Amino acid sequence: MFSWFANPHRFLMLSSWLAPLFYAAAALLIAWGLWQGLWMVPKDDYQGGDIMRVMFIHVPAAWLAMASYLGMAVMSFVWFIWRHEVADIAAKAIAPLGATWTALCLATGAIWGKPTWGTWWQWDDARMMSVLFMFFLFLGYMALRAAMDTRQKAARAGAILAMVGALNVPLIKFSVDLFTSLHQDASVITPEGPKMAAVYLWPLLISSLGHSLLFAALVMTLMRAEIWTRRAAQSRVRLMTGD
Amino acid sequence: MLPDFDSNAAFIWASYSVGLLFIGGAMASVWLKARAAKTELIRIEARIRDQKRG
Repeated sequence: MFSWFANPHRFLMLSSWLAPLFYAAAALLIAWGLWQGLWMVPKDDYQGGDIMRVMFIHVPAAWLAMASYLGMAVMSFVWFIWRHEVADIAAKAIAPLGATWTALCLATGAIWGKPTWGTWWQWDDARMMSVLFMFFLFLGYMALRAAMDTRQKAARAGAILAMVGALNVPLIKFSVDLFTSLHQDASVITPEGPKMAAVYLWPLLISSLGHSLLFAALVMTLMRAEIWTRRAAQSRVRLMTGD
Repeated sequence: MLPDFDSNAAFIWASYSVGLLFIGGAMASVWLKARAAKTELIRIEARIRDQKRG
């Protein structure tokens, strides 16, 4: 299956219709999530009143930040084992977008934290610090790749960092259970099922799906750009050698 | 018609504004990068065709 997707030409064909489809679906789902989150769902006084509406952007950003890091680590693993170039292109494309959604998670978390907990940031909070660490892993991944003088070295060094850094993802997920944190315990993905009321849960899930589709569409667009850039580099060599 | 929030309205709008800024910025940079890459490839391929024609 990996080999089927590893063909850049096949990827370009697939993404030429899949990416626009994902953009359109994401626009609809995010718009519906915004309408529900800002206008329709009742405020929850137990969660501080209207401020809980920040959840509909903060939580999808947080889930996507973790999922994108895992995606980058899996693509790095695929490249590391099978040397499929499309997997490396995918990992490279995920990094800046993963950093963006992680930064969004940190920023909206700080804005939500101030009226809720009375602080923008808590340095000894395991959840906050492990997400901040993941943000630096994304930046480190990009910096490491940029510092290498060949594409192969960049792919290898990036893959190792991405795979080792993936150990941080379960730490983020379980940090609220293992350490003291200002964050509440997990309320959606729990062994007993979601503890959140359906009126909040569905808009949250739909909004998260919208963010995920937008993210996937942007990754596909960046991957297409990278494939075109590499082809242009090869063509430039052909032009210079006159082949 | 904008929704009417309690005393934390500024924080709520700040969160969604940051979201718009980050996501909008990411979309714009990705689309510009893709367009530049496609334009460059087309330009080089056209030069190769011209070179072959002599």
